[in-house]
Amino acid sequence: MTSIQTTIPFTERKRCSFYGAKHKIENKEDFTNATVRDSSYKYTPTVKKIITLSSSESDSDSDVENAIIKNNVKVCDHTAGIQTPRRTRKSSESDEHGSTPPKQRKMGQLPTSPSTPSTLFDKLNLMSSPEKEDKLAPKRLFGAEKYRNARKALHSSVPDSLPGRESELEKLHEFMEEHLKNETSGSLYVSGPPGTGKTACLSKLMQKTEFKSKLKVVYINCTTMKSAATIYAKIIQELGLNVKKSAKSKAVIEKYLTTNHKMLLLILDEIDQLESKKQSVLYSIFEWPSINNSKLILVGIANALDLTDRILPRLQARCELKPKLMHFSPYTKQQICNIISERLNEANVSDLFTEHAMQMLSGKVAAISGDIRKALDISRRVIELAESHKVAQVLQPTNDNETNTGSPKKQQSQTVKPVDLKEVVTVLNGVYGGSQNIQKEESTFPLQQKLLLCSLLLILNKGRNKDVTVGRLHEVYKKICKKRNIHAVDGSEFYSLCSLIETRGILKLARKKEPRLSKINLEWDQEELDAALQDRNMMAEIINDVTCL
Amino acid sequence: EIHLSTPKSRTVKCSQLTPSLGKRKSTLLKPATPLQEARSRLHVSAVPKSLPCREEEFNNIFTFLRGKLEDKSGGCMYISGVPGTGKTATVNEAVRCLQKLIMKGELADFDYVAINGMKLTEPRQAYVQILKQLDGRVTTWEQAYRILDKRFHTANSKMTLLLVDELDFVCTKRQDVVYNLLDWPTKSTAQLVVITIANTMDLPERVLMGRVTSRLGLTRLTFQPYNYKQLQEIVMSRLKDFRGFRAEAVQLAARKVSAVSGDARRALDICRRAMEIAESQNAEMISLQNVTQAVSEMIASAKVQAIKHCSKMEQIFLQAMSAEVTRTSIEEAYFIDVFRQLESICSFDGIEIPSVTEVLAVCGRLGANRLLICEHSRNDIYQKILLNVSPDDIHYAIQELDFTS
Repeated sequence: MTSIQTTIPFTERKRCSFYGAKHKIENKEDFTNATVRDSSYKYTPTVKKIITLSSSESDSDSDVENAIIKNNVKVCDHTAGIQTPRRTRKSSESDEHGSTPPKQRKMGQLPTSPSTPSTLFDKLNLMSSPEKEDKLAPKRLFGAEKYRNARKALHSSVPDSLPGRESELEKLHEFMEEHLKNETSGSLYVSGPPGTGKTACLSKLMQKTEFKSKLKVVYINCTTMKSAATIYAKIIQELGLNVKKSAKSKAVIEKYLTTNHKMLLLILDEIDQLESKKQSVLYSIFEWPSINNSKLILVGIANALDLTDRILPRLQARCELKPKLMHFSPYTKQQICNIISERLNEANVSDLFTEHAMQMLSGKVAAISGDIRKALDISRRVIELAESHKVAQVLQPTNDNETNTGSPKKQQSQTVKPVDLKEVVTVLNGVYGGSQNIQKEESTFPLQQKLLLCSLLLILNKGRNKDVTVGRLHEVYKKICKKRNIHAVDGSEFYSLCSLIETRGILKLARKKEPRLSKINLEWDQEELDAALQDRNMMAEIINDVTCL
Repeated sequence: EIHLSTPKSRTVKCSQLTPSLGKRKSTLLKPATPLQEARSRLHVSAVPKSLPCREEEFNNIFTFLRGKLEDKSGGCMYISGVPGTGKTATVNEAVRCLQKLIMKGELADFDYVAINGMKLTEPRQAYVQILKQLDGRVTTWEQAYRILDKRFHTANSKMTLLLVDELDFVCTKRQDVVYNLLDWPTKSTAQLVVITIANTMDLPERVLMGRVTSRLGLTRLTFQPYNYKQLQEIVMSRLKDFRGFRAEAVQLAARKVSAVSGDARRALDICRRAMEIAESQNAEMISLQNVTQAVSEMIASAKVQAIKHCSKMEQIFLQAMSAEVTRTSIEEAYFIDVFRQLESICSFDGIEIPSVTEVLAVCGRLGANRLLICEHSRNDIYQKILLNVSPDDIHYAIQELDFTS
């Protein structure tokens, strides 16, 4: 890989006429390590895209269902069956343009003639009706479909397959099986940081047919409760019991449990929301499994590792009440890597990420949080960034007529460049950058706010008294301004400046009744902020100016 | 069953009656002079056709939304930035462009719902508002929540776009509302895209729980404050062909604002105020002086003026207070110590020393107009007093030499 082009869209647009973009193409030759077959494969979706743009039917996100079939297709990829099932489905949906056969014939010829893209493109123009062409967004590109597939594959909703959670699933399965077989009650507490797949695992278990037949499954997310006590009413509603209004809901449930005919699986998500006075609600819920001849499997999900020990200590006293504990540890680097690559494989766009980029991304996320939602989010962002770069490279004025756009575009789109380290690093810095970003914002950071921060640093570095109130800071700031002939803002304005800087997360104001008495705490690391502000002579001078104290 | 609700309230709840305002007796006057017309264009409420200097952010939001709507997948975005940097305006413009695409038939139809955390009496009213905007019914929040939950748990043919402005006011201690709003998009059936706007850049990390932050995701966008060139461009684009505003005057206003906060609203307000000043002087052109005057009115320091207009004894009391602060170098002072200082100043100047009660009244007056911060007077001579202005302001206003130093 040599220099990757990252250009600002506008200059780019000015610099290249459509025929004068040759120099870029030479650069792009480096990346064309894709075979002709690949490039041809990239075209068909775009054609499809044109067609499906206007069709407003919803298509479900069924990459996952098709994965197996797709893998079969990939084996015989060199045949004309490049069309994945999904795409055939799409084309059948858009029945107004089901005219794929001519293209497929073209595809058959492709391996022999590398110059087909252009001819193919011309064909494309011929085939699609003119009014459709007008409706096209100007930034529609080759490979757009590919990016889109990748984006869809990396969604953060509950997935169908859970790589990296096999052992946990196995354990859960065993737990259920055991209790089902013996018809005994049990309680389980699942803990783990956000985004480690707790809810996903349980919802996957809930969908298993073997459990569906034998169990009555009730899933409740406790965040939706108004207060802890309303959980009973919700459970009754979920169980479909008809209750007299006067009856106590808790008693009704307990009665139901004792006269139960079918095993009940009760899953309570975010169970720490049920904290109440003396934890009576949680205690009574966790006691249900120990009621005589009740057949209940209770599963509680929360983030805290020690919730049952911390707020339910009395459960430890009786062995039969002790919930089984299960912890979901944060995803490791390898697991994140596997998940993302599997998702990309399912969507058939596994060549979109280079190995290095994937390793870098997953390593970083695993080091910081191990939250798979974050990892998927970042990878989506990376793809969006790559796509926007691509758009920027081939951006064309909107008033362009469709006839002469062919030549530059088809040469540009010979390959969809895989995402490399550079893009990943850009996104990661944007997300986890923190105080590095202040240097970038230097141009937009208002002068008075910089002066305020410098005054604060001066007090913290050189002053004797380290607790800074707004009033004290204002006095130092005014001296600094006076010395440098800058118009100083007055007290009320100064206070609002402090709040503005607070929104950046650099300061924290401990608000008091009087604005003047509010305390200011520096939230960022002092050395980092120092370094960020030192880049200008004046700032450096202020930070070391003891006379103003 | 007795219905206590009048027929009217019921029709309002089912949105069969649209709320209307009383009409004016006479029609509004059209702006007569070009100056007035330009002034009306500079008003903060007049949102321009396209927002200058926010192209990049607009593209960012637009492509995000468009991608989500085309992919039919849910998602979240968090937009932050200090007030007056065009966050809501940019989002609204992006939505307008998307709705134009629907008109053209390039995009499937979607529902657009906008709620504002500041306009809700309590966070849970958000459900009521969302439901009202979706199908016009007004219910209690529990019922509204149930309906919405059902709606987002069943596959829907239509995408929904939800804009939550002022997110920090939707966060309560339990954060159940914000959790639910951000949890719906994670359902594969929901087809909901949520855009959240707030001022604080690190609100997710600072205020929200881990589970909510995880759902909010990392698609974030920060609106930086405008620099002076951008502010200039904004004002100029609004003035269009009005030539009465000198470019250097606009630049001065823009520089003044960008040095403090970079808030476009304030820049527009200053320019409008400068126009009003010019109009009152019957001038055709808005000059630098007008802008300077407008700035000094807007970013005015009233405290020095207030001290200048105090009575003699109040001024002496302020001097005594600052002298006491200088002596002890502690910001707080007891009334009795200030009174001693006041006695010495009075004897120095040859003024009759007032009684403690009189000075207490003086202190109370100063406390009422917030030049001082003082406790209740029942503590008599042991009440604590704090200066609410800096000692320099006092010296500057009274133009006396600091004889205590």
